[in-house]
Amino acid sequence: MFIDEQGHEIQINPRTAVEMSRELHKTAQPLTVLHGVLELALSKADTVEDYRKCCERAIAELRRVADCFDEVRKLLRSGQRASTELNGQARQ
Amino acid sequence: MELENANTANQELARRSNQSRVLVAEDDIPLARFLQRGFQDNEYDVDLVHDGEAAVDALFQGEYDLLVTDLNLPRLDGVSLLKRIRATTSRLPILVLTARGAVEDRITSLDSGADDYVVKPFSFQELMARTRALLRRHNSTSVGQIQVGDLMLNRDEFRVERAGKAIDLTAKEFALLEYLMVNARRPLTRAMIMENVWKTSYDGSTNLVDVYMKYVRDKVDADFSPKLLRTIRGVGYLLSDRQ
Repeated sequence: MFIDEQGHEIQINPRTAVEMSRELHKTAQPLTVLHGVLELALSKADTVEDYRKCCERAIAELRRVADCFDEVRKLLRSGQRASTELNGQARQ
Repeated sequence: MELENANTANQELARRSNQSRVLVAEDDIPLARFLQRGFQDNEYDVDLVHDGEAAVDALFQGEYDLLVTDLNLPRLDGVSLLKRIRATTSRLPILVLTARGAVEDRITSLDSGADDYVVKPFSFQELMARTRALLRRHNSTSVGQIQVGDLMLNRDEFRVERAGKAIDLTAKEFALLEYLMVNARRPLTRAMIMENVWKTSYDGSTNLVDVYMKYVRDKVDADFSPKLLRTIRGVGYLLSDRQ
């Protein structure tokens, strides 16, 4: 069970939950690179160019994390719609 | 087989320079490339594969000192890969990268043959430290003799030679040189040396490490060329056969 921005309960079917979990799991890869790139910047970057490369790489990995969260949001919405439709059909 | 960086000439060069060879099995391409670059920056010779079957092929075709593998691999998952490897060799050190932080997953990895694991997202410095520890453990259990350039240390016989000439060391000097040789080509801080050789923490108030480094240097380096022991200002010491 999830809570939406308005505080309403959202029922998610198990399949959607598994897909959401898979998407969240994927964030571990870019977060690992991001962690490493920032470590590298702190420990080894000497020049402005070094820092610029680290920042570019960090941004690219942040985009990958953001993409994962976008997918999770889409899954949540589609799961929510499906759940609402099912509830509507059940009431009819 | 998706084996990258498998340039024969490079591999031969690495073997000759005594560089540790690491096989990285990771299907996420940006992460795989980051790991490759990171290991290379730390003077490891690295091959990349992106699935479990390719990892098995690479291991059967080449000699590796360490396997670093993701658990979620296509074609052959990490746990099956571990079991396949352990069915044929128990000697290869294996470090598992996992995004699964659950205790059961870590236990499964270790029980399937992993020697150690790190949970993503991890610190790259921690990964390097675990790699060094694994290789150190592996070297200390499997090889009684260490060689760096023309310097040789034999643990079993408590014997050290430089260019074929015997060098007499005290027990502590021997332990210090052994630690430096096991970690050859890597800068070591005084704290690391103190903790690993004297088994005590370093508080900065003692010059014990510097005193013993001088003893070892006088015996190992003074009458020989090239000089293997170097002081790295602000960091500590380095033993390397590379200029």
